[in-house]
Amino acid sequence: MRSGTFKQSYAELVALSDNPVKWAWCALALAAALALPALANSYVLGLATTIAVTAIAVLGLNLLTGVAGQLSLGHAGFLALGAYTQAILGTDHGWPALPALAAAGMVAALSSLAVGIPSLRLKGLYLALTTLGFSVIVSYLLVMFEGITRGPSGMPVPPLMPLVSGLDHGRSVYLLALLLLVAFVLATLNLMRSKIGRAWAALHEHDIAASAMGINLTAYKLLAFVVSAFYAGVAGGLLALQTRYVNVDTFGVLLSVEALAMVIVGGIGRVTGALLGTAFLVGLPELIRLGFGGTGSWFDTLFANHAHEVKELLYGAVILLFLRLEPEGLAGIWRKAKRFWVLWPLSK
Amino acid sequence: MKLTAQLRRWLLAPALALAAAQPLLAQEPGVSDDEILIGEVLMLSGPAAFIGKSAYAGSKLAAAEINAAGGINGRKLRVLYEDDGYVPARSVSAMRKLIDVDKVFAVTGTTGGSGVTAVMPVVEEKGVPTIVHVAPNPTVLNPRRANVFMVGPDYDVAAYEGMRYLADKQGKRSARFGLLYQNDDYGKGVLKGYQKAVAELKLKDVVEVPYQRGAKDFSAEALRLKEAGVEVLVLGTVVSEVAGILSETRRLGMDLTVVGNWAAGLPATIKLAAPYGYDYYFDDYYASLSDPAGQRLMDSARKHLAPDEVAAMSRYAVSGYVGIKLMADAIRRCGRSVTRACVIAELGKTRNFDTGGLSGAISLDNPAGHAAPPLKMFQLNARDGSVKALTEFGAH
Amino acid sequence: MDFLFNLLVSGLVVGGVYGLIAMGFAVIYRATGMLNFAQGELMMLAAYIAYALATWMPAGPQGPDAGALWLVVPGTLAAAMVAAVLLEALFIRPMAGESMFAKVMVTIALAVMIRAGIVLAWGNEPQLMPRLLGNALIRLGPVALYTPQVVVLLALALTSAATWALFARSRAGLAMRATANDESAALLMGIDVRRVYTLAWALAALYAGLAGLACAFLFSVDPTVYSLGLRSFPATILGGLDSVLGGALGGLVIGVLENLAGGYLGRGMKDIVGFLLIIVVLMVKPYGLFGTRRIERV
Repeated sequence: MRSGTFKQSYAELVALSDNPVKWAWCALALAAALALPALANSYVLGLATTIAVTAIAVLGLNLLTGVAGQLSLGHAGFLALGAYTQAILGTDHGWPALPALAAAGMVAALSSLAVGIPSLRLKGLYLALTTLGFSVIVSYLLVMFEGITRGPSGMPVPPLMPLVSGLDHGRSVYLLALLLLVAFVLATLNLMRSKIGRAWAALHEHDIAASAMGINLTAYKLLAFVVSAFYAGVAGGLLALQTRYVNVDTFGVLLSVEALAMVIVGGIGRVTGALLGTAFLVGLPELIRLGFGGTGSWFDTLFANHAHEVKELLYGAVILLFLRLEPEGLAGIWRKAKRFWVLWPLSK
Repeated sequence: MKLTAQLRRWLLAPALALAAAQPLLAQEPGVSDDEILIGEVLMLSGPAAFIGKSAYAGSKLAAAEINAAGGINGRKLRVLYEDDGYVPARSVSAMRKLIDVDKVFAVTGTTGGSGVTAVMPVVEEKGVPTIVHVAPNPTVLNPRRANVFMVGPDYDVAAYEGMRYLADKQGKRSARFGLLYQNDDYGKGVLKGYQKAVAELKLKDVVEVPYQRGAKDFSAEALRLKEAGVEVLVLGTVVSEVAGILSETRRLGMDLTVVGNWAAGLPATIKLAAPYGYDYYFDDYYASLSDPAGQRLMDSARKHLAPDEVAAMSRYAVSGYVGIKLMADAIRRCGRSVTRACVIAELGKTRNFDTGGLSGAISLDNPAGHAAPPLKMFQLNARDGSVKALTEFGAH
Repeated sequence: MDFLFNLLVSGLVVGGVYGLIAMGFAVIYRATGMLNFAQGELMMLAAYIAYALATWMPAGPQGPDAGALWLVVPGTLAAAMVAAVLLEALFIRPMAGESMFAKVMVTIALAVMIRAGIVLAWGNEPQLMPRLLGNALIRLGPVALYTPQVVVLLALALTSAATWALFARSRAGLAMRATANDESAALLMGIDVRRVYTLAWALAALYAGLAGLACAFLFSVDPTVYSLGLRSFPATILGGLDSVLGGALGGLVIGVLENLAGGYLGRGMKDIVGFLLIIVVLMVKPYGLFGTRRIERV
């Protein structure tokens, strides 16, 4: 067990972790993730891509809601804007996928000012419902401006050029999503350790006291919205690339709720929490299907006829269980497990 | 050094085995010596589940009938169903699972709404023979994909034909027409047909009112219809909206002639809307379950299906039934050596496929690969909720 | 003029349903400080229970008659209240002391489960609620309303009056106000805070039950009616999250506004005008029109 830290240079102080074992595990995980396209079929790969893409959006939401404390129920709106930007720039203006992705993030980030500015005076649930209203209005506008968005029929999205020649589209999108996820994770970790992250934490804890300490509330609140919307915009663009088709229906209130569930089940305010929560909740329907695939005929018929409803029930039940039994979420369980093994046999 | 040599040995053996197995793997996916796999992605849960469950029942019935008669050239037909809950992203992943993991040979049905458009790149990429029939959608055939066929006229044709019937046969040519349509691609399809009918038949179009999917209260929409003086109301609605708008127009004392497409003829729609006393018209390209052909289908269903599946049947079950029968017939024409290329070619040669009275003749041998069977007009008797066929297929 | 008048009256009717749902939101927020995102689903559950009770009654040749109302209305309200009290005891009470996100998330999870449960029990198809109140038209000047529509308006008026009396005059109402004000002080003064929470949820279920009955009679009984809960959020915010009467008024305003937008503007404006309004109102009055302004101690 490691105890005490002894830093000799500024670089060591600033490094994310000084533990070589931790870096080794991270490298291993990354290698496994990179090897996945060669080993898995396209369905599993599609699932992994969905996890990576959703994780990016959830990281952003985590920053806004978990770290900065601004409860947002409207994240689906930012995802929608990102996805549509990707579609419009790609299909109608011939932009290649990667610049369109950057633009998707920027558009979502700018649009977040539309909800950020009115919300400066709002707290708690009033803020949450305003963000909800924002996402409803975004859906409406996307349908309204048919000339640009093709309205309710949705838009096709041109494919991503293969990153490495010879790689099919599914694999290319997976690798891009993985790369971006790693980049965003590093960015998030650094943000949270920086002055901005500390200001957000202060804002979360007690905003009036923070303001009294000299933290510019307006600037940091808006920054939180803008940054998290950027994440969501990029995630939306990746989603569009993956399914090759965008439509307003995908981005309803339910998506915002699912994203929030991932934040909370994973563990509010933690990066590992966001990743674990996403992987768990996206993979849960598949696990349910696998787990109950072999059981008795009663459940089989129930499942076959009402798959959607059974999954929803189990989904809700899982969230309730987590909230009730482990409020710190999966990240909390992970930490406790680590501590248990580190202290064993002296652990409680 | 030793490690590398051992590693090489470990890699070589499986590679050799894989190479040896190549001839076996070259067989068509989904076709084995005794069975053929067909996949369907349907909305078995979620808002449109009554459509998906009905199509599922019809499809299952068709497969059961085929297998009871000995299968297709000695091979049994097995159909795998995936539920997408009416979410396009899930339609895509369900289709990928069917094609890549379950390795189905062909695909029929293919869900509804935007899910249809979303799965098109997936089936096209793998060249899977596909018949779209549950929810006809113009994006399926535009651009034309060699392996994709569609049965069913677009919603605009249905609207056009309904209006033409009223103008020609019910003396409404000089009446004031109005449209209520859902603000999504389904309703926009109806709008297109409505506008075409107005332009070509020189009808008086006084108002076109959109509403958001899921709307419950239609008082504002009904008032706009009344304000415009609508006499003939064309519906681009689904199920509960028909009752919603008719209850409001009845309250406002509007005496309307109403026409819709087959969604207005669903048992669920009629149950909700009949109390408001409008004997509305609707058209469909499939027989009603109370027609003789429909009755024969129900008899067969009671033999092969479970009671709750029989209860879920509606005209969408006919669609599911016809879809499987069409695909099976094309596979049968390929004899024992069933390949995707052969089935696609045979589908493209289908001419005047006979559905035993369930629909008009179905022909896919046109450049678009589109069978738009003729429509039949029905009218509701609001007092007892019964449906009467007014014409034969395409006879108006 | 007729057009406008008709729009106003139909708007009031729909607003009545929104108002009842908003009152449910408000009473829970008022007593416990959290927003119950499952209010729309509670209303949907009540609508389905009403349908089940109405169709369970042995029917005459014309279907169930008005006598069934004696079973359906109290039965629905009682069932809704029992359900809510159970939910509160099993799921909400154990979350005392947790962060607000967690509590809100619990109600969201419950909402998802209630929705799924209803579909599992009753299926996906829209159902026709037996016309226990009849389908007769009542003429009020230039406007004709169905009997259930008039009943909804009356119900809202009566409920608002009863609520005002409860909060202003009765001891239970006073206890609720005290708990909302300062929980610890209320405990010290001998108020059983747990009973107050249970009462708040039971009251919210009463409102949801009335809203569910209204929805069943006015519209249809189908698995998408929970979306009315979503559309009531602007009503709650407009009136202020902790003002029950404000919620009722907010509901009426939103209903009328939606209808006016639908009638004059069209093009789907009906669905977003509520949210647009609250964004504007909240910029000026961050706690809604009638909400109490929070004074924070630093």
